Amino acid sequence: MKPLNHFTASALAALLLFIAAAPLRAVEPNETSVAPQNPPVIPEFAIYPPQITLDSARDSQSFVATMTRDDGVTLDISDRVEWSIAGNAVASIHGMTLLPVADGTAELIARYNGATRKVNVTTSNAATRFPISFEKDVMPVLTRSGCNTGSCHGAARGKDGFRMSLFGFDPAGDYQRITREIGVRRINLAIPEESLFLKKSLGTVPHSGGKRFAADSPYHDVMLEWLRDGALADPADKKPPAVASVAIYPPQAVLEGSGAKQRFVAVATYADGTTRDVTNLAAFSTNNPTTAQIDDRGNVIAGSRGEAYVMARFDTHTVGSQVLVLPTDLQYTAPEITGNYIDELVGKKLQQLRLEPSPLCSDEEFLRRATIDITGLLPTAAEYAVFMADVAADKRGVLVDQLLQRKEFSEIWAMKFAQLLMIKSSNDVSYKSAFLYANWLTDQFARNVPLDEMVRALLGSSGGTFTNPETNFFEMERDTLKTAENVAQVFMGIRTQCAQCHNHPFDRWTMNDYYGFAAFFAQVSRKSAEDYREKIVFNRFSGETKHPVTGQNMVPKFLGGETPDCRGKDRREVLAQWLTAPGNPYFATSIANRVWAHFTGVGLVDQVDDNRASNPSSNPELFDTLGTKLVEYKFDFRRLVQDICASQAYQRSTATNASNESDLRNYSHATVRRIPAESLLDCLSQATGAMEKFRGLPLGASAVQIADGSTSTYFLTAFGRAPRVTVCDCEATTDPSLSQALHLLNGDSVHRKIQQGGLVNKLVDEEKKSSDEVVRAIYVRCLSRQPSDDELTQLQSAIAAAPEAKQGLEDAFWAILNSREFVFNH
Amino acid sequence: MKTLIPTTLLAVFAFLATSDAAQPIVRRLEPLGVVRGETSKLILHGERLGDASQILLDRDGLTVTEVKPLDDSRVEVTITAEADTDPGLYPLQLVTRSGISNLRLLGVGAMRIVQDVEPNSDFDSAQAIELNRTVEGVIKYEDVDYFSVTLEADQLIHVEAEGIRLSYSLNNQIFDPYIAVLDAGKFELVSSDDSSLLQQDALLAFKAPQAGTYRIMLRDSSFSGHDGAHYRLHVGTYPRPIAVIPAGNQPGELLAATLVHLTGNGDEMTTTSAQVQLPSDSVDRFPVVTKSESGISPSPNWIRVNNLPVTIETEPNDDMAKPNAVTIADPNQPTAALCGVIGSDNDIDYFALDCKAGQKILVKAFARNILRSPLDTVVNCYGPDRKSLVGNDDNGRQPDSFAEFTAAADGLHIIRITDSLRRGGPAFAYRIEARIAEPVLGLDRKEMDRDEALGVAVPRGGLMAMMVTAKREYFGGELKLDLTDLPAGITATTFPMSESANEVPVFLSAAADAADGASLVNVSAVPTNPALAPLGIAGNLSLRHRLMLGQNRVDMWGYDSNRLAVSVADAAPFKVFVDQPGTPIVRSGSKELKVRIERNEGFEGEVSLVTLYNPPGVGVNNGRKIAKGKNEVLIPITANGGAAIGNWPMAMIARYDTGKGQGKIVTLPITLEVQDSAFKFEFPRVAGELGTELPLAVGVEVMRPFIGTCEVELVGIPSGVTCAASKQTVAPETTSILFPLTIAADAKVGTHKTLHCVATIRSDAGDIVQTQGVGEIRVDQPLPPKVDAPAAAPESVPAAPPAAKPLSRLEQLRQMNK
Repeated sequence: MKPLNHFTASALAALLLFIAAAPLRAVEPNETSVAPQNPPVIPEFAIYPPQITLDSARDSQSFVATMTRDDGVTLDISDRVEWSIAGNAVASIHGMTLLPVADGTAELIARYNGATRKVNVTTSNAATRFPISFEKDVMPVLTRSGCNTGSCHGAARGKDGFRMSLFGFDPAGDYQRITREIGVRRINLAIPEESLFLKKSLGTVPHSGGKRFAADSPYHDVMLEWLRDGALADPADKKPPAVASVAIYPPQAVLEGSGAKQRFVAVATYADGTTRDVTNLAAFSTNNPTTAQIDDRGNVIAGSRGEAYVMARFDTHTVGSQVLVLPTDLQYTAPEITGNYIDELVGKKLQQLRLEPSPLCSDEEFLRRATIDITGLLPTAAEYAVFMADVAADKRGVLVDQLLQRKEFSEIWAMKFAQLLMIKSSNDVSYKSAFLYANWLTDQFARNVPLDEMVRALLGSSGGTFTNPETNFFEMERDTLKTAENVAQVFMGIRTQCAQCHNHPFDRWTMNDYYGFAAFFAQVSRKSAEDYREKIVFNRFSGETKHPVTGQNMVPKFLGGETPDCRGKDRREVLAQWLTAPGNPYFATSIANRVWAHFTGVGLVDQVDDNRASNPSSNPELFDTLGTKLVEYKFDFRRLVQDICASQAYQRSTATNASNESDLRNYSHATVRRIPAESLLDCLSQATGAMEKFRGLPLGASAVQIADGSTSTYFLTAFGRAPRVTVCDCEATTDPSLSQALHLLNGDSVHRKIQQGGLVNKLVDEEKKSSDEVVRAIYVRCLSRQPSDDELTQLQSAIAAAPEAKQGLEDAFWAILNSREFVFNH
Repeated sequence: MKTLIPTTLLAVFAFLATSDAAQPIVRRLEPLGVVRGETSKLILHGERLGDASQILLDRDGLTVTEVKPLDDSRVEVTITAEADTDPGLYPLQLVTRSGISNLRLLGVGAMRIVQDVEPNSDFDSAQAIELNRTVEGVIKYEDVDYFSVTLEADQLIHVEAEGIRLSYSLNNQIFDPYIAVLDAGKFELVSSDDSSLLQQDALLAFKAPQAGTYRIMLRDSSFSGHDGAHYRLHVGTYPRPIAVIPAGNQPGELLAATLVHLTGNGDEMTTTSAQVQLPSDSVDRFPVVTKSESGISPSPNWIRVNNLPVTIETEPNDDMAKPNAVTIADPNQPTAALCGVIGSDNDIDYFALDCKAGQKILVKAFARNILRSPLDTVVNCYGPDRKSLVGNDDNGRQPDSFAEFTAAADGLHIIRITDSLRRGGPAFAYRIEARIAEPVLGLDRKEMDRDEALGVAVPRGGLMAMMVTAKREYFGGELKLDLTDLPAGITATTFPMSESANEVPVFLSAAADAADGASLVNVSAVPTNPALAPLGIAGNLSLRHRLMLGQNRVDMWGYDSNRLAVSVADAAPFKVFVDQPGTPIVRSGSKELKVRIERNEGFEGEVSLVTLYNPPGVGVNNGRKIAKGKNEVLIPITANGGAAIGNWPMAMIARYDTGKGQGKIVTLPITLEVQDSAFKFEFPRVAGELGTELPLAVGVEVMRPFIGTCEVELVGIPSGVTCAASKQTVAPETTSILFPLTIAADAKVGTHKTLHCVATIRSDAGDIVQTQGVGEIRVDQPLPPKVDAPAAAPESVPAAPPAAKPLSRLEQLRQMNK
């Protein structure tokens, strides 16, 4: 899409006037909310699909035309365009569909308001009606009709005595069950119309699933023809080609006003190069129905302002197209985009959505925000004084650089990865193992070992769990399949769990992909070491993963990649090399997205470990760029942190304006984030000066340093510390709860720490500070800001009312620690 | 509630104290070690030490001149280490007049000892020490100890921590030291957690990059220290080889060895040469102590000395086609030791051993075991046709491999050795011993009480006993035991260990006038079959003193000895006897053993009795006691249907309260004869209705003639059934016994599988009792009389109006308001 420049409401109105004046077919009154006027000289429009091939007499292809206005809004002009076929009469137009007539090539021509667009049309086998294929034709009908969903016959035990593979992952098994089970009842080749299989679908006999399609539908025709032809299976030596890809057109729609419409077309391309219009076979869905709804024919209707992805799923492929819905009476002046590459991409997206970003935060806010994000601690009073007194223009960048050098930065990231790697002692993993593993991880971050190198060491590790603590990766989870799932989730941001039992319904992963990927870990073996607490992990160069449906040994295959030659090699090393290679499409972006989410509160792909076609990035370009940058920085993610912290997107205020108050995913303003459990406890200890004591760590060790996931306190558990049971990023929660509030109010953490730390005594007795100064010191210590006059007045009157001044000050300290401002990073 | 807790705790402690044996326990040595060439005062801390009299030492090099109890928990020992005593660990056991303590290891070093002085838990409060010192200290919970040393540029020091090696804990309190050297910037320049040479103990070499002060940090590897986590930290310029190559030779040889050392420069290593005089006899684990002008290694390296001819690896031998030829002394005896190093990653060593068809060859690797090499061996054996015969990685929990094969053809068999992770390095030494399978006899001592100290204290004028177990490999037959070096006044009574048994009791008796004394006793055994004499089979007792047990009582550290501590202890306050029964016990039979005591004046306590051991298939009631004021008790014993027939020595252990814990004394042995069953009974399955009579004919087969009279009693008759003649006499010719049963009208209906016959043969010599079941009787309900017409339906009664639903108070109030 063209970048948007400054434009005003009047320009918009002019554009709209132009469209209304165009001498075209009648436009439905509600198609656009404002009639276009003053047409441009050459309208910007496109027709889809960009190439049409018709491969048999059965084939057809629907098409669509969209026009893009200068302000970026797109209009579905399919029925306003003059369609014709140029050249040979190889195809004919029926409504918005092209049907083959004869073999040859031609052009589909669209004329609109003086502009012309052409699409090449190729037809072959125009007179040939190939027999109906079970896998290519019947299975898609069953899937489209919802027969094999989990709530129907796709359930593990089937439904009402008939079982099919979920979403059709096992066509051979389905064929067997349809044609060979319960004798002649399910299919009746003598009288195909009497087949129970067909009658149930039509609803002419009682069927729990009701009527799935009508007798005059193409679905019925396909099924009946297949039955009439003898309900044959596809010959083993002549299997239909696999679906190579699916596309949905148009690739993007910007709709104006609620009720605006856009028709989408889905096209599948098979491995033999043939294509198929699957608009009537694909399952359409949307990730944001309030913004864009899509029906089963690919028609999108705009809802409220926002962004949505509409998706088409066919076979194992899910593809999406972005739909933006803008209000009709928008007053928008695109601000100038300044800042670094992040801001360019964020700004571009904001302009696309017509969002106005919030201004930058204050220095006080930045100091506290960056310090908590980077070190998990509060800025000290001295750091506050230095930063506030600094007049240098680049002082924010300098601060970030200083913070990145602190060991707490490594500890935060070691802890985050310890959560993902589930570092925890158990009956099988000794405390020493867990401790050494966590130390290894901290050391990796402290020494700034590039992440790719660290992951290679982790995945390819062999040796004793004491002498080579990274081998504990294979001890925390010993199951081969789960190990493979964890690797995909932690290092690629992909959840493959569904594909263990059936092809992934919302992503591209099939059971073949799943077991092929798991095969990389099939040869991991373990044995006892001399010290019974230690295990030795090694590659035994034998052992395979079996596909549960076919029973075949699976050849190791990269997820979404090729099948490497693993002979004589440690498969894990082969995988680690591929995963961390600069060209890998998942690793760098996934890690970068985790880093981004840490600093902004929400990932570009959210959840950060759920990257799939049906959960696309809110800013794909930025998502890719961050990954590219990480590779460029040789996986030194400190540099990425520098970029993120230097961006305006990070430095924005949390205050919102009218346009961006509902924006949660486009970084138009900063989000208010509850400080994670461990860091919050550390901040509390830091603010009060009262150290915590954790098992197996010296006094004064911070909660972030807890090595063993089985070590916890009530505070940490209540505030959502990750129990390290799964690799899911969602384990550590910052959701508020009543027990958190009650614990801070009534529990012993705050009160005990205030008493233990003795801060007020120290300030009053040793440093001889006045009541005002003490309050100010507490404010700086806890909130990194000076109290407002109003706050000061109110607190002083409360302090004065206390029986003793120190008690009043401690009460004030308690109140500040209980304030929302303290427990949130803002 | 506050006062309740201490009271309860007190009760628990009191219970623990009385349930403990009276054996002395040594919890701690202070100091943990001594300096050779000096006489030192050593305090042994523990429990029940007030009557300590002697120290038993299992290694030469130390002399104890005085053992002086200070109180019941402390003993002062004056000990002299000769100037040429090898540094290392020396086992000692304390003997008191009531028992023998657990074994503890005493460190002997060549360097001055410095005590750890707290506070030294911070980098900045490090305790300054001089070089070539041994620091003794303790790492409490989450404690860290820092020491500072001043080094010159490029100066090389070694730091060796002894932690687990000095420990004694049987309840999973592991001390696992971690050491590191830190520079002034608090960076760990070099660190060590576990080392294959020293197991969980740590060892590092450090070469100072520049002159200055460096901190040595010591802590538990996962901050899990405790009050018992004592250590000796050897800091100095001493030589500290980590491998000796080759790892052994034949007795009497002068071994030209290569010693592998750390250089303090990362993983880099260097070697030196040494001449090691080997002892004149075979030694499974021979210490090699390294000495140089800069010091002496604080603990030895270990090698093996035996008669196997040694073949030393010569590279290149990493091709199966070009193996090293193995030297053997006798062309018909392919026995040899193969010594070498897996020198680098992916190194493989091949040896060719000439075997004859039919020879069974045992291939045993020594790497982690004895040598303490980092190598985790994998051994594979191939036939002359290069086909794989056998392979092994780990042998049980041991990383060292063990493989055995039988040669199918004459020819060169290949032995391949490598590391399981394909790692290697200069210190990856190994010694492979290949032998023809020969008879082997091993002896052990069975533990009678969990975690008991290994030692036998024999009460003066009384008896003690132990169970010796045997493991016979590649032979069978009866064994004869022999004990030598017993303390004066103690004599041993041994019984032959029968062919079918793998354990036998050994009785030790102390003369009534035996003086205080203790010694380490040799226990050996040989087969009695003269046909086996030419093979020279002999076994010695091998004892494992467990010093550190982990979770689930996993043995982590201990000391192996082949001598058993035996001492003369104070007399018991009573004498105890088991009366020799006059009749045998038969299979499926029972018997009562009478145990009597003769109390000394003043002893009135209770005596509980448990069996020393049970002959196979014999069960003994171990819950019987001779109560206060009583002098005898009957102990029921039973023999199951498969009890081993024969004569078995049996004895009971009498336990009593000494006032300081539990004392033990053993009865004189009796001979229990186990015979086959005397009778065979056959029970028919019978059924009868309530209120009827039912004859039960039990078939009898008298298996062999008996002396005396025999009576058979039917027992287990169900409730409500009676037998007018439940006891009947059996003659040798009896084939059936008829028991008339009467089933009462109210007898319990159902099938009862409870009937047994108890046969008792009575004679002057005593009774022989045999019990056999199980007979089944079914008691039936008589059938009800037939009913032709259905019973008249009861007159219908109009249903009572439903009772008013009880109302809740709230509902009552509502009703009132209506």
